[in-house]
Amino acid sequence: MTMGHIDDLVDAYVLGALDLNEVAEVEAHLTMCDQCRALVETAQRVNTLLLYAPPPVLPPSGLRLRVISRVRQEAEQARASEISRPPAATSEDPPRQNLIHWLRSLTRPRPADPVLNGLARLLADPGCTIWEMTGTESLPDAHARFIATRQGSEGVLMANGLAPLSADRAYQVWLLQDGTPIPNVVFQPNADGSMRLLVRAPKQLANFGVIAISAEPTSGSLAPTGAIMLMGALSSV
Amino acid sequence: MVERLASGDVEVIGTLYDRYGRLIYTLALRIVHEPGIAEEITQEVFVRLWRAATSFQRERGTVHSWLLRITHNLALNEVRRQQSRPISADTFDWVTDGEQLPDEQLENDPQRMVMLRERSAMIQSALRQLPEPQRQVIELAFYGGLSQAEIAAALGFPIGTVKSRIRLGMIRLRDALGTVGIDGRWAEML
Repeated sequence: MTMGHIDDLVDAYVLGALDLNEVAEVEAHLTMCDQCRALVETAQRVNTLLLYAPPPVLPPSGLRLRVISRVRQEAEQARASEISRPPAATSEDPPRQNLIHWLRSLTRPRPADPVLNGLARLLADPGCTIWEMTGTESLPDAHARFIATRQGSEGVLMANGLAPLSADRAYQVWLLQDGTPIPNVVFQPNADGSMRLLVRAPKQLANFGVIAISAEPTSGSLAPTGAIMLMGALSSV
Repeated sequence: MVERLASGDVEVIGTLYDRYGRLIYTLALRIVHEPGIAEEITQEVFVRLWRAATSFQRERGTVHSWLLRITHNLALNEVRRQQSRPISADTFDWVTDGEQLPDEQLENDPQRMVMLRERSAMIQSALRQLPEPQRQVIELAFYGGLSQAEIAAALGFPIGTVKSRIRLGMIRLRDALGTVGIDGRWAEML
């Protein structure tokens, strides 16, 4: 690094060639350095081109039908289990209300589920807020929602697109207070990459500015040692 | 089309496959080198597109770059999961490896496919301008999912050598892409 920047790590970072400690170092630096973020964005554009570099190959002729069949099957299963996606937003039906309506419908069939019970309590609170968490470069297809009230200390995290980890690793939730990560629950995702769980904060959530998820040893860590996979701001809405 | 998918129109998936299926399968096959696994990954990518359609944010990138990022991640996860097949730099010879797309197969959107193939050739041309040792480490990292330390171990070089080759290689690649008339914003405009 030169002058405290990470310019000599940027290319390896966007190629995914750094080890976990270096990734953590880079991502911590990027949270506070516009100059290095710009370098990463430039490098990322070149990196993106590598996705298009392989010469086009003709897929097997039956693949199209198998893809259509698989997606139809998924859609039917989702409908059957009532865990379908939230209905599309319309101008008369704001997305947040729509989502809350969908989440409420989820709480009906399984009253014994502690996560759904927690969700039901939160949704009954007029201060209920849904914060979006997006995947970082380490896990760009991951997405999560954190449902809580800023005045409370408990929330429900619903994530999907979580990649499987090696046997000795697990995901860990962090709540950041003034930039300091406070360790929280450790979990393994379901086989389909989804997870929903209760997150209990040591104090009111209004004290925290960011919620994040990293990959850590299965026993959890006191401070993040792995790449940040998802992150979202707990800003007041 | 993603909007139609988000509204629950699953049937549009066929049209989306016609548009992006070949791109996805190509990248998956390049990384996993097994047609059956590449097929599985292609199916999974479309399932994920269906699941995520309502939350897809166009301002975060194009549909195809989003799909290819997922493909890249899934394929590398699969390679890491298997960990039984040694990754050799020889497996990344694009000039001779893989079934090339014949012209008569450019159905559906021939103009678009010709453009894709041209752009692919231009990016390959830029890669070929790199000294072989630099191209090798970049490809092992990006398509093999190897860290710098793993590349150093696989090739028997000091890690410092791998680091400098990646840095110099990426600098040269940026220059070479400029030379062949393509910059990093191209993918966003496709």
